[in-house]
Amino acid sequence: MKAIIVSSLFIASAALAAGTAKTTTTTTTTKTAAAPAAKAPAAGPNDAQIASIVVTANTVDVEAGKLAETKTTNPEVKKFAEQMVTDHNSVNKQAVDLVTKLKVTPQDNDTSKALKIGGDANLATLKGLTGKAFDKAYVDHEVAYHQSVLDAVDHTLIPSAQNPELKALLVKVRPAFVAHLEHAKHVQSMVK
Amino acid sequence: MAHRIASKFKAVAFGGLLAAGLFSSPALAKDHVLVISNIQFPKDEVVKTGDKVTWKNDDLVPHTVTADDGSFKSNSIEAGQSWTYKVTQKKTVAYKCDFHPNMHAKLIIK
Repeated sequence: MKAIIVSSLFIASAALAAGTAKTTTTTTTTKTAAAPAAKAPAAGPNDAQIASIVVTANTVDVEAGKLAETKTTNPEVKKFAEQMVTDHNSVNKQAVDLVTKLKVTPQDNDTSKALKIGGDANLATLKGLTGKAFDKAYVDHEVAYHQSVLDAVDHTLIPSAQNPELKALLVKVRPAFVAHLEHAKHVQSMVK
Repeated sequence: MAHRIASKFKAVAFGGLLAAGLFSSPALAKDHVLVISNIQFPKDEVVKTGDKVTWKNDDLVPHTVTADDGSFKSNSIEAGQSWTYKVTQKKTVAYKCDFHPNMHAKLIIK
């Protein structure tokens, strides 16, 4: 069971680490091929793709939180799940408001699709668990998930964002993810 | 003449009242605006009884302002919204956000 959770998270983490849709690299053959060909820098996601990644990442965590609210009997886990639903819904609202204002249409990409697949796999796993096994699996996933999202925010999304307001939103949301990660770790220590 | 004396008396009386208001009454109440950002309350704030304290939520997520001793408690303060509390009693009150366990601060009421 743990392997399934890890694999679903791996999909999402790998997607976040990659951070973008497939990049096509064009190489040119030259006669002076002695020097190794310089690799084209990996293109980051564009603003429309970032918008989709942000909305999907939040939605995935809202769905997991809603499931946890209904399944857990642990007050600490329930409180954490409620916070995830409230906070990620709030962030999504601001994100949607901003991209609407900027007239940016979120664009599906490999990262957002993988996040959705990973989120669905996580939900499927969690639905088959009860009691302490559920609590542990949910919270373990939340710890790893928030760490992955934070890494993506720091290393991919913020550096790639072109629109200053979108970049500012990503910078502004970061402390919430840090707080979520700390809270998740605290709850994790209680459900061991 | 009588009218001029009466006017002068009124002016003196008004000036006296003004001076009394300025120099002998308690200090005027102040408005304090505490901005919540980065999932943190501002540092501890010193206020006086009668002052109004407004917490403005500059984060993207909701918060509450909840006194540990139960003396005040906001509803959920949504992103971009504010909540105001008028302090009435001299004491030091620790408060927190109900949603985010790491958020704590104090209101020092003098």
